[in-house]
Amino acid sequence: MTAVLESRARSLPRQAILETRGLAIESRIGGRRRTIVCDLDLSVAAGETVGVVGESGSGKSMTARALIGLLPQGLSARGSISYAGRELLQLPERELARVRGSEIGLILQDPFTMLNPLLRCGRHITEVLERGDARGVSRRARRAEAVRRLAEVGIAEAVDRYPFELSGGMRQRVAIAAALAGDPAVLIADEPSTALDATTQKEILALLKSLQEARGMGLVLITHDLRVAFAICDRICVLYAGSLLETGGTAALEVEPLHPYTLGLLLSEPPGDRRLAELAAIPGVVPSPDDVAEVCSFSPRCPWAQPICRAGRPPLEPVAPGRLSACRRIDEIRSEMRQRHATVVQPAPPRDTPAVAAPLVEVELVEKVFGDTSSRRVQESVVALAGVSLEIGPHESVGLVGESGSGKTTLARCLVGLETPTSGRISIDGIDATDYDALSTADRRRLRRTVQVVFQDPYSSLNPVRSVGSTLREAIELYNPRSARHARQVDALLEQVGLPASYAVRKPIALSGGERQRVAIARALAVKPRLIVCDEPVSALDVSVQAQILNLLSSLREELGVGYLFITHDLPVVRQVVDRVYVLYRGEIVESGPVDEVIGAPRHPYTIRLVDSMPRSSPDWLAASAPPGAP
Amino acid sequence: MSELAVPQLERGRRRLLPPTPFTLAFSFLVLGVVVFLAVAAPLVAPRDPHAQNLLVGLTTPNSEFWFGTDDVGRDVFSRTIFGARGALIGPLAIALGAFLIGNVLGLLAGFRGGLIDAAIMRWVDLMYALPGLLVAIVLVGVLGSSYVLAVVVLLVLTSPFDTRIVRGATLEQRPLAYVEAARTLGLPGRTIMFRHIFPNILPVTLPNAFLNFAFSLVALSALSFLGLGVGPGSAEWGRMLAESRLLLFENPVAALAPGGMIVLTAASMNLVGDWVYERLADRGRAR
Repeated sequence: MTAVLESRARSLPRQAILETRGLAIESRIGGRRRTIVCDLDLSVAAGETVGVVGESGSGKSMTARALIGLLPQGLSARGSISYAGRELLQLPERELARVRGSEIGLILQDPFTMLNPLLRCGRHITEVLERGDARGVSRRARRAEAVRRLAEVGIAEAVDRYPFELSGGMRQRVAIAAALAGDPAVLIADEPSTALDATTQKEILALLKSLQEARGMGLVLITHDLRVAFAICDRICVLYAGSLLETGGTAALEVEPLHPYTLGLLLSEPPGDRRLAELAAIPGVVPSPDDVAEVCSFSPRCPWAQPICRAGRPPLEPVAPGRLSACRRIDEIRSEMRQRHATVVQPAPPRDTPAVAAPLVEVELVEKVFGDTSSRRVQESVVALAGVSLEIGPHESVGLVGESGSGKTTLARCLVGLETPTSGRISIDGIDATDYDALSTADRRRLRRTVQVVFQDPYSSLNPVRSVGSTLREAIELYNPRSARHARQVDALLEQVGLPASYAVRKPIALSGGERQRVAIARALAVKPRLIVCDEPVSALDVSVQAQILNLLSSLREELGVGYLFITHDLPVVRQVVDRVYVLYRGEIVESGPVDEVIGAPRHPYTIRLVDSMPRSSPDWLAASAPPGAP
Repeated sequence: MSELAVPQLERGRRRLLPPTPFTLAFSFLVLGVVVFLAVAAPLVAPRDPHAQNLLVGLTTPNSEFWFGTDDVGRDVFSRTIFGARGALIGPLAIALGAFLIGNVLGLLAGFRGGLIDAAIMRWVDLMYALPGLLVAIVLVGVLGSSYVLAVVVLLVLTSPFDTRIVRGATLEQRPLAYVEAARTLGLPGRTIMFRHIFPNILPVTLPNAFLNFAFSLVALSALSFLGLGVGPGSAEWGRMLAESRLLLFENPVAALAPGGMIVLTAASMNLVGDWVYERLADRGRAR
């Protein structure tokens, strides 16, 4: 089998095996036409890794689906998708089904829903094998082959297990093995590591890369994360609002982006190795492709936009060897962009450590056990926090870093009284806040005015039937019932979070994710708290919007002196906003200290692993931890 | 991220076929006419619905009596018009009452949890375990037939179903961030329940009230048909159906008119309920 693969890799010259020309994807729902992608030229050769990078709404996922002929109902593709000389868009469904899996494989983002929960992992592989060469082979031989395939991704032992018995990373490995079971020549991976923890993400990327190299496959990696693309791709295509803005080799593109959007994307990504005074956020949000059909799609947000940018859609043209860019003004602004690139990445001077004062929040040996804690069924319970202690000073910003399941959200919920710790003590501003229900009304009111919370999911954190204004007014009235100037206070709050006063009448549905998160911050600010617990406030947002929110949090801290407990899995993000950081691992704090020291020189093995797993473009990043069992 | 776009795009195919505009308009028309007849019955009806006229006796439809008369010479047309009152008031009381009880108990059970939840839900389980109509028949039979009693019994039997639906919908909303944010703000529980959660579960509970209306209209008519609701001779559709079924060959309209009205009103209410659901489910989603 391996020999076949090698001969295939050799026999194909470095020419595109999967190629699109003028690909356009449209949706038609209820008679309304919407463009999702237009005029897309993309190609991948055998043995090549191409990254398609874009924010939400760029059409990258639908492009992935179109390539394999799996567009959801109501969407249609036009143009040309050719695979090894065959036109895929013209193929009837039966032949297309044969191409899928055996010629082109697909890996999706969510490992939790991708596998059939009723089938053992080995069955996911043999199912594909039965369609291919292994037809008519004995059951035992097929099983042996499934074990071999799973060994290729490093989890041979999973062959008889059900998906629910595996972790997210292991499921993603099974999905990769299943996608590769038909030995496809091209593998499309749609955000394969986004739903995974940082350390697992690195393992999966390393696995993909090594498989791609060993098999000489073409790999199309779809991602929102430029750094992930830099780490494993040979070529990168930047997709924005449904059209390509720039393509080029990874190394050249990272050194000098040749489109203002790519530069903006690069700069709004918080760097992991230093703290910046301010992140260079791109103002505004991604437009819908139809709104920018006749102009340069980035012109509404581009600092260098001129009337010429709005005179028709700029074509993708060669601007340097191997580089294409859709910017008309690139020759004029190239030196300015280079300058901006250089100045923005200057590290900020280290923050003064705030004077030592009595801590605002003290958490002592807090434990939280979920489930039945009675002696007989103690094994069914889950320990979320195993004796955590931490302190937060007034006006201080503290980070809490950990992977999913580390207990970081549980701790946040205990602080704001949404959970009650099983044991231990929490004291906030001198009040014993261990059990909110046991407090007097006055104490509870004071606690609520001291600590507020901003949640992760911007789509559920606002009541969908109430307008922004009434949501904020309610929070203001609660602690200030007599003031007659609520409307003015609502305006002031909106202004504080950078939204126009006219937003007060809008319903949440009319806001983008970033705008909703701003309203959620305004709601927390309405009671003038001294500490805001931010539970992954930016992890559901696009990079450019994430930078806006991080900047907002920093400036609010300077203006109002509010402190944060910033909970995140993302080390570069935490470095930008906090002074001190606690690293939480399986319910215990394993390391703490000033953020620069912890990230710069981690001591605990887990922290070291976490810091290592931040995507870097240097070639040794993936090599550093070749997963077990990889060829 | 990008996967958020997909459910929106797929929204178009998930829905069942909505009623056509014509059916919907017709349903509204039927309900409008029934409401009008109930309110303006004395003005619209040509005769006293209870006045017997033994001289006329049993007749088929003619120019004087549009729907004919029954065996004691009462005008079927006027009786059908007056019947709209009973068909409207009882089911309306049941639907509204079950809506109120169901929402209050369901929100309490779902939001507060713990002992309150356990107590309410055990009561609901108990009511589920009773064979509803049978209990109604026995109770009405023991306590004497009366319209009010039939309405009360049906209300008590209907509201556990509403309670369970509302509790389920509340449990779905409770862990959402907007509810947790309201709790951290320190809003009182009743504000969170009635101002925040209630409007968001309305797309489930309001259409259910319409279904309850249709169900209890049929159930009340059935009780009357069995002689357990209103007294004999009352101008009530179920009762009229029961009393006229023996005259089916002499004056079929006397049975068909009230029977047809029951079917039309119940079906229209169901269709309007579906429409309300469609409207409410889209609210907050459409821009």
